[in-house]
Amino acid sequence: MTDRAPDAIPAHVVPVWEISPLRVWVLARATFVQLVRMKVFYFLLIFAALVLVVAGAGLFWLPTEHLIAIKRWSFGAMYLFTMVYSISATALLLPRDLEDRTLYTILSKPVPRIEYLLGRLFGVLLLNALALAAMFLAMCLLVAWKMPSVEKQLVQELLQGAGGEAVSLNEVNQAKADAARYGLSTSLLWAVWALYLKACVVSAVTLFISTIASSSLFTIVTSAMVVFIGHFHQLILDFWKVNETGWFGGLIGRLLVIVFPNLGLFDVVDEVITGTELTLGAGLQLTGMGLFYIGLFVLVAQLVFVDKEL
Amino acid sequence: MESRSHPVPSAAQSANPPAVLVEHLTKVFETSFSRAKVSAVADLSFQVAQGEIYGLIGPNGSGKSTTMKVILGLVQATSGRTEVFGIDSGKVGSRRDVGFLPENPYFYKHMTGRETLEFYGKLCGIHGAELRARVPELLATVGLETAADRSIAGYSKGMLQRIGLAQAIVHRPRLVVLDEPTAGVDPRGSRQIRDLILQMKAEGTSVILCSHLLEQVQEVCDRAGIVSKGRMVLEGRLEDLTQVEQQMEYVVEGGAPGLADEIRALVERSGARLVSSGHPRTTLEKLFLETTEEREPVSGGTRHD
Repeated sequence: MTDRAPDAIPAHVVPVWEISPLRVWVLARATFVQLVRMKVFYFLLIFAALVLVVAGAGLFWLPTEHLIAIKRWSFGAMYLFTMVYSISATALLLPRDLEDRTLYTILSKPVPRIEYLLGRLFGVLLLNALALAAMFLAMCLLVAWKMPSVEKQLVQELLQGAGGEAVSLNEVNQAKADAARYGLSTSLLWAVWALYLKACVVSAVTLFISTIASSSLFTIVTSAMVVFIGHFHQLILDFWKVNETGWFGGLIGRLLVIVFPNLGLFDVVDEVITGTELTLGAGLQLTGMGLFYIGLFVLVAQLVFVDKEL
Repeated sequence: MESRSHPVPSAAQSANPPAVLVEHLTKVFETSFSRAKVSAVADLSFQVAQGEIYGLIGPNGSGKSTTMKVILGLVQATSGRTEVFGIDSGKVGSRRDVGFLPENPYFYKHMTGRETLEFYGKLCGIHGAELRARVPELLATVGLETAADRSIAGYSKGMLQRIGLAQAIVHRPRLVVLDEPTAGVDPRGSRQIRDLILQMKAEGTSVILCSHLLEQVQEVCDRAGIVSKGRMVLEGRLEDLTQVEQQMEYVVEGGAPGLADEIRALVERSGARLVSSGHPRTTLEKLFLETTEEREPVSGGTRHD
C-alpha cells in the first residue's frame, strides 16, 4: 500500500467496468451449489405435500374459494420459503467465510470485494428463483387440474339454481368466466415476480447487515427485524402523520422510513389471488422499486465491505 | 533493527522490482468499543527478491500475520508502502501473481478436492482445457490423486494443508505466501511440502514462509527476518545469521584409531579450547523418515514393518 495523496482514489476501489461477470458467475454458482448441497430443496417436498392436502380438501370450500385457497396456501408457503432462505442463507455466507478463513483464500486471488459480494448474493437469488419457479409451476398445474371440476360445479350450481328452467349459453359462459377469474392469470406471474423481488431485497439487506455484523446469529436477528419493520412502512408513516408527535417523533418516523425498505410495496399477492388484475405499469413500478432497493443495499454493503479489515 | 545482510537495492533503483517491498509499514488497529489503539506492526521494512525464499519468523502476536495480510491486500496499512512486483498491494492487480496459503485453512466442505481446485482456478481466470489439465497435475504434485473426488469435509488436517497449497499455486503465481504450511502435516507430508517449496524456488518463484518450525525455515530459506512486537529485530542471509563466528566444525569419516586424540592434542597445543566432540547425530525427522519408508514387499515372503 503506497502512501498517497489524501484526495486520490483509494487503490482498492475497483471501477465498475473492471468487474468480471465470469468471476461473479463462478462465485454465484459455488454459492448455489453450496446451498443446494445443504439440502434446502427438501422444503419443496413439504410444499408439495401442503398443496396436495389443500387440493384434496375441496369439500370444505365453495368451488371458487377452493381455487383461492390453493393459491393462498401456495403463495403462503412460497413467502415462507423465500423469506427464511433469503435471510438465513445470506446470513450464513459472509460470517462463515470469515470465520473459516475461506474469505482469505478467495480475496487473496485477483477477486475484487464487490465481485465476492455480488457472487454470493446472486447465488442466493438463483436458489430463490429456481425454488419459486418450481413451486409456482406446481401451483399452476394444480389450479389447471382443478379448473374443469370447478367449472363443472359452477355450471351445476347454475342449473340447480334455475330449478329445471332452461339456462342460456351466456349464463353458462358467465359461470365459466367466473371460474377463470379465480384460476390462472397473467397477474399471478406479477404476484410471484413481486414475491421474488421482495426476496431479492431482503437478501440484499441481509448481505449488507452481514458486512457489519460479526456473527450469523446477529445478522439473522437484525435482518428479521428489518423485514418485520419493512412490512409496516406505511403504518409508520400514517402513525406519525395522524399523531402529532412533534419534530422529534417526525424525525424518527422519517428516519425509519428512509432506513428500512418498504416491503409492503411488494404485497400484491392477496389482491391477485382474489381475481384483481395487476397492470403492466404497476408491475414495472414494482420492478423499478425492487431494483432500486437491491442496488442501494448492495452499494452500501460494498462501501462497508471494501474497507473491512479481514 | 540489526542487519547482517548485504544491502538490497530499492525498488526504484532496480529495473526488476522485488517480489515484495515493504517500507516503513505501520498498522494500528482500533478496538471495537473503546476505540483503543493497538499497534500490530511498527515501521517494518524488508524486501523479498525475485526467486528468493524469505522466512518471516517471530513469536505469536509479533505482527507476522498482519504483515502478510497487508501484502495480500486483506488489511490496509495505517502508513507505509507495500508493493508486490512493483504494484501497490492494495490494488487487485497485485494479486494476479500471488498465491496464499493461510494457517489452518478451511475450504468449502461441500466441494471435493478437485472441485476446490477448479473453483480457485476459475477465480484466477483459468478455464477449459487449461484448467482440466492443471487440476490433475496439481493433485499429483500434492499427492491427493486418490482423494480428489472425496468431499473436503472428510479431509484430514494434513490433506487440507496440501489442497491449500495446491490452490495457492493453481495459477502458477510468481510469489507464494505460506503461513505455517506444514502445520498438522506428518513428517513425510512435511518433507513433500518442503521439496515443493524448493522446486518452486528452482522455477524462479518467490516464497514468503511464516513458520514456527525454525529448522524448516533454516532448511529452505535464503534469507529470514525475525519480527518481535511488530518490529524487525534481525534480518539477513541464513548462513550469516546462523554461523557461530568464533567456532569451527569438522566432521571426519573413516579416520584411523587415535586420530581423535591427535586432534585433541593439536587443539590444546594451539591454545584453543575444544568445545565438543563425538559422533554426529541424525535428526529425529530423518530417523522417522528412514524407519517408516515404504518398502517394496518381498516376493513370496512376508513384509515385516
